[in-house]
Amino acid sequence: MKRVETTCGYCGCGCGIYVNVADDDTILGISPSYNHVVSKGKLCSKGWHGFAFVRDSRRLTSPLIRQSDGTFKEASWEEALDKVASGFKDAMIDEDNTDRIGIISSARCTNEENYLMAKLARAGLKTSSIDHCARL
Amino acid sequence: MNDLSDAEMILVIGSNTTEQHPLASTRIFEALDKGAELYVVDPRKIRLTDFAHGYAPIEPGTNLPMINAMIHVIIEEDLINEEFIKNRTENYEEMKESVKDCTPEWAQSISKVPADTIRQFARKYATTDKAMIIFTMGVTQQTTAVKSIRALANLAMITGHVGRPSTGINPLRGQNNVQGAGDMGALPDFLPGYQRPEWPETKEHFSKIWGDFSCLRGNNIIQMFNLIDEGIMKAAYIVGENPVLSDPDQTHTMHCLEKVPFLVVQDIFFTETAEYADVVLPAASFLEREGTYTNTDRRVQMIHKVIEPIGDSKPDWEIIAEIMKRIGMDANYEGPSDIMDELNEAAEIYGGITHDRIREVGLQWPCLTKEHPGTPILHVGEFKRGKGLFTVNDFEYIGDQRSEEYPFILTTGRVTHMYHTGTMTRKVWTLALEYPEGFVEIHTKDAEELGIKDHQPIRITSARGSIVAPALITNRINEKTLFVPFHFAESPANRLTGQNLDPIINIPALKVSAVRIEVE
Repeated sequence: MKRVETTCGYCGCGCGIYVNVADDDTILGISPSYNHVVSKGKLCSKGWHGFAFVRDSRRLTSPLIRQSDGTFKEASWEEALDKVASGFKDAMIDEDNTDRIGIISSARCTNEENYLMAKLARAGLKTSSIDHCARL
Repeated sequence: MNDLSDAEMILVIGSNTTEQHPLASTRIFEALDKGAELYVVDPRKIRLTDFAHGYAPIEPGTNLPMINAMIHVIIEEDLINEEFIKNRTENYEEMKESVKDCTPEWAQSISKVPADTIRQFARKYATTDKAMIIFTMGVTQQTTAVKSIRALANLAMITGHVGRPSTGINPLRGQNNVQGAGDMGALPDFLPGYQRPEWPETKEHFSKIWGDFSCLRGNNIIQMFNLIDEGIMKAAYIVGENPVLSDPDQTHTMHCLEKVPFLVVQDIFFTETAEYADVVLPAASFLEREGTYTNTDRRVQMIHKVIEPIGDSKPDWEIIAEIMKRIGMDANYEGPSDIMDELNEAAEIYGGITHDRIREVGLQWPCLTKEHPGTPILHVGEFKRGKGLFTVNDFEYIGDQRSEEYPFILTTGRVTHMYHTGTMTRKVWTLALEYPEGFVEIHTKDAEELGIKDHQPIRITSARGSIVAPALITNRINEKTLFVPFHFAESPANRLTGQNLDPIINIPALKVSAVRIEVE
């Protein structure tokens, strides 16, 4: 068994947790971090239990592309990413500085990911219309 | 957050702290054990009220008159901190003039909080040395959000409760990295590090790192959906968000998602929003990636990879970098620490934060250099702008009001075992067991009048739409007021909420919707 120290992914408290993992990568459970500056060995119900969705059978495991009949079909990353890039390029065609693409980033993503989203939006897709759920 | 446990008086306004920030609430209890007094402003008798020394059962949407009346009382009874006002602030006289008619009796007529309760809160706040204000969305999700927060700032400044340990006005940030997402510039009116697009130095600074970029004030979530509706916006990229359940006026949201010509949704599950996508990209969860989150204390902390990504899913940063490359950008990051290195240069407040420095303990921004120890308290000695500015915040109500057709006010929120749109927590059986379905809280008296029994399904209808949820009869909510959590897709509270917005920051008034109820 290994114990990996990390930060809880739920609320803004930012509690310290250890994730206990078996050798076959089964997640066995969570332990609180006793000397963590915020949580000091305590956790709430989401902190203790909230990890179990990670191995839920309903997790998305492959890119999906909508077909002309409206259904979704599994696709390779190459295919899906090419479609995303061409879809965005088509939407961008513009001469008058109007934002044509809306970007909604996530408070569940890391800082690094949010920074990339901001950069992708403003420097890549030439849109200043980027937001996340802070208002919701 | 640790400051909370040393406070002598804590004013909690619009924050269900024990349910929404459980570990922050442990600090409140520590403070109470040391003799602190607790005062709560909320339309529901939340758990904290059981331990409170004062409780103000406020009418949803009317914090501002109550806060202005507290300021009025403090000035009238000469409980102000003259030295602080003189040395550290400006515009006091104008603010003072603006609240001269805001008597507690006037505030009572709007907020329904007894005038004597308002006086009690004001006196206690002004005469306690270490008095702290905690607030969350019960203040912000209203049409008077900005004015209310500015009024709280006035309240803190007239009493000098700023810039010292265990004082200040402290918004508890809701989601794990909502602070960080804002810090990183995932906002239409800021670039990373809260640099305004209209500042000339912003364009110069980011051009060096990003090359040519869009340096304008963009549209927020609400405006984006409206621009899609108008046919102006042609594509949307939604990462780790589920607007069908989380955004106001669900019918409008669904219509816009249906209409947008090209929609990419990136998430860990096939959400209600993914139904509308053209391409769905599978993301890895927080246990399957590296990176940093910034908590409500501005503390930047590491997350570590525990297991490999499930199936063919990828961490969001890898997916975003792949898209960047495909549209011709340079995005050769080996890992999140490379991105953090670039961020050090882009955002001064994160200038000295590296993964190596925070492996053991997080650092609080502003952290300007690699030697900087971080900043636990803001505004010590001086406000960021120099002098603290008193503002005038006159109360003018806009938005939903009770009427003959819609005699109840609905307020929405969350429950402790669930998270946002329930995408994760409803799939954890131990948590789902606690709240298998949505509900509507209704006061005992209203339920009796309408002949509603506990758990009986009732229909709630607003001008926007209609839902059915089982009644939860309680004395812990104001009369003629309902509460519905928005986690549950079968009884989506946001089908009822509307687009009444704060005029300055466009936050929707999710806490105030006029509704009627019918027994099913």
